[in-house]
Amino acid sequence: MRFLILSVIAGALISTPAFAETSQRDLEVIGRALGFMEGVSGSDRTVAIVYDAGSEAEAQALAGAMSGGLSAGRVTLNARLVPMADAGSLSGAHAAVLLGSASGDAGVFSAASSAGVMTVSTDMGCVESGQCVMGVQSAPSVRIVVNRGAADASSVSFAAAFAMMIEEI
Amino acid sequence: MKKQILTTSISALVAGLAWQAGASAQTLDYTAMSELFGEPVTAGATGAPQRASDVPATMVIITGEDIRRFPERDIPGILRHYAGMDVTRYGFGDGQVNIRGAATGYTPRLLVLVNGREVYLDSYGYTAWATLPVQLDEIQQIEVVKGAQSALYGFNAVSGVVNIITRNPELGNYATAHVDGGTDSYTDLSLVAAYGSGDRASVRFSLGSTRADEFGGYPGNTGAAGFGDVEFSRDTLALEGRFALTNKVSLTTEFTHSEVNQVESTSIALAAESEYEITSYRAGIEADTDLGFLTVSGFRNEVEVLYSFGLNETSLTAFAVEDLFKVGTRNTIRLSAEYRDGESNSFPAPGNGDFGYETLAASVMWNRKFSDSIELTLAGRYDHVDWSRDGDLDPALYPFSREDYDVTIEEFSYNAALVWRPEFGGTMRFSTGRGVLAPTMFDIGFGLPVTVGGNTLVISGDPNIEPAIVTNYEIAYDRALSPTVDLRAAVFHHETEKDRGAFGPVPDLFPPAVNAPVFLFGNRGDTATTGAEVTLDGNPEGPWNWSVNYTLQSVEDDLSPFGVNTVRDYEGATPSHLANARVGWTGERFRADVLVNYVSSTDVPMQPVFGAVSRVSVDDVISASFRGEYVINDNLSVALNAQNANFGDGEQTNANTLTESRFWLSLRAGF
Repeated sequence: MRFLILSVIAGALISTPAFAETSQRDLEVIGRALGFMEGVSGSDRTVAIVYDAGSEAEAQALAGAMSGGLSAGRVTLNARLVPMADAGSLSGAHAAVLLGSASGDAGVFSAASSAGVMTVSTDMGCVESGQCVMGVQSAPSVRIVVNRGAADASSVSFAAAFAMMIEEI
Repeated sequence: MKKQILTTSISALVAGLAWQAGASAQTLDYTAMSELFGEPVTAGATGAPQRASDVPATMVIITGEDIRRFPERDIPGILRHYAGMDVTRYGFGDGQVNIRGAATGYTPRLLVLVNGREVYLDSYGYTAWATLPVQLDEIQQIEVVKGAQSALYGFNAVSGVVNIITRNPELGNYATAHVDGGTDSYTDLSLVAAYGSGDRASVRFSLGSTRADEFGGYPGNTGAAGFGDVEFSRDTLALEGRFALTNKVSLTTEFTHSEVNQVESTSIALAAESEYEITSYRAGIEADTDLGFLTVSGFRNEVEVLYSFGLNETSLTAFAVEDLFKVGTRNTIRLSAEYRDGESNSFPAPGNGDFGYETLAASVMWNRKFSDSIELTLAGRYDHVDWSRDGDLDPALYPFSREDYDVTIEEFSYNAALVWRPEFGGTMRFSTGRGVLAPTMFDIGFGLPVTVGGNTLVISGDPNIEPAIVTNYEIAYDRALSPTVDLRAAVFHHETEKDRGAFGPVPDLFPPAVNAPVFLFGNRGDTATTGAEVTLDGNPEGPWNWSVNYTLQSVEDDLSPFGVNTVRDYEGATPSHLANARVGWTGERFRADVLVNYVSSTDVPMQPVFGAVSRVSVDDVISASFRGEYVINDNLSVALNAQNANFGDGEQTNANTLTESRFWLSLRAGF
């Protein structure tokens, strides 16, 4: 019995993706980066939070951080909660923060990119595989990675100075 | 370098209010970028925007917040507290900044720019810091790039480059008024403001005025006697307009004017009082196009300096075109071409014909990110310079004819650097560069007869003078030792071949080859500096922060004999050890800073009167400075400054003047 439990635990450890929850600091980095996105005017940005069953609490926490508008550099972020199943209704948002298994999901990326929404995640595997436009980490230091193919597919582009300072793949 | 902390702080809220995302986002928005990445950003190392931790050079970035905490009145005073910066204070306003050895008054090796415009004086070849039309309150950041940087910046950027960037008026209105009053009749007034009308136009205005008693002369220097009675005066004005012509194209125009009277040490260690009047015009267009980020810019400097030996009038006109773009996801490329036209009057003796040069230069920079841990930067530049003189010289005095001045100089310079982020953490930089220290107007065209003891002697430039070549090799390592302590370290070897300038008390040419003995500016030999710098910055949680740094410089000269052919003695004049320590405390209403600076002993040249050259010993110097600030409210603050508090009436730091303690009270109103 103990061996079974151990192996189940071991299996769970191996299969769980090794990224931390999206924090408020990550959100601020995402928000500031949005300030350098081209083709948008004004200082309001709508950030959709796409979540699955396992990340609903995380989604609620992020939406709470943005309630009343969260200031990040030049922009003010407002949240819109979007369950993964409703990914088709992302249109109108500027960015979609992907949580849990929504991150890396081809269907979510397809829905977002055709709506011109920038997909972003703190899971670097998502941006590396091209299912996210941007990958963000805020600790131990700020790291921003943009997948150019995914960006083109989502009709997202950035100010030249910003593009030169981040990692593009 | 302070760590920036990402927070939804008051500054972020205020920042979010006034700006419109996308308006003129081309010019590097230093504040927004540094808040995003949590560290300073710069375009000063390669011409392309980069995070401070990515730059392929040893760089110091001093932000406006940092500047405010120093009990210093000018930029050289601030720079001396950083690693690798050997600053000698020859007069109240004359602080010469030497990096990587070859310490001298009127140093030609450091290129200084304000918003990309050269403020270094290429007539004589030095920077008169007091003439910079910038007030400390309006500085966004000061960027210091160390080592040979000619491939990006051109001639004379051989020990380093200092670029002073002012706050961008497009990014928000501000107004700061600053009044200082202190000992030795020190008064300083500064007024800086920026105002934007709509999204399309904004203006920056800057006014500064300083008066103070100069430092007293060093007692052993008879030529400096009476300097304590000279009044240092500085008045500067700047006006800048920025216009967003379209969402992708912006225009910048700037006018500046400075007038300064100050005591200095010349390049031949002669103490002197000089008067400056400098006017500049600058314009630039930046466009974000499909071909990349294009910049077309130009400036004109009109300089009049009344030296003790004559009036010099020089003008410099420069145009540059630059294209910055990415190729694929991994390559950033910068192409640029430049034209310069420098002219000087016949100087110091009139009637020998105006002279000057024209330069055409082209440069390329390629930066490639091979992976997220290896990045390579290569840059190269080619300069073609044509000198000429438009009149004949007095054949009774000068050994050169007008045709002798038709000289062409062609030189390559390069920079190569590898930035590597190893598995064991931190960032390593391996770099090398070749810089060119070109002959200045004085080196080539100077002409002055002098009478010494009834005999006529001639001091002359030499059109055959060759550029000095500086080669720099460096290995650097930066690392966050803990979440609150940063380490920055570098070892370097810096060589100069055919160092140019400065004659000694013995002429180079004698009769019968010439009519009267002639002293020539010339190439005087080689010098090399090997050294290391280490900085530790601590930013723990809470009100305290601290910083310590140490620099070692070991110099070896192979120069013409001191006291005969040259007054250059870099081995003697370059201090072997420099050290700094700083502790700061930041509270709700009080801020305090204590700074200690150490410079080890030197032997420096002195020439109280022309022809009498000697060496003077200067002991180790330790200085302690303090600053305490009380924030009255959001707009008003008052600070007490004690600069070199332990020097009293005068401490010997060079052979020109004694450096005195100065105390002043500072009142600052900001909106």
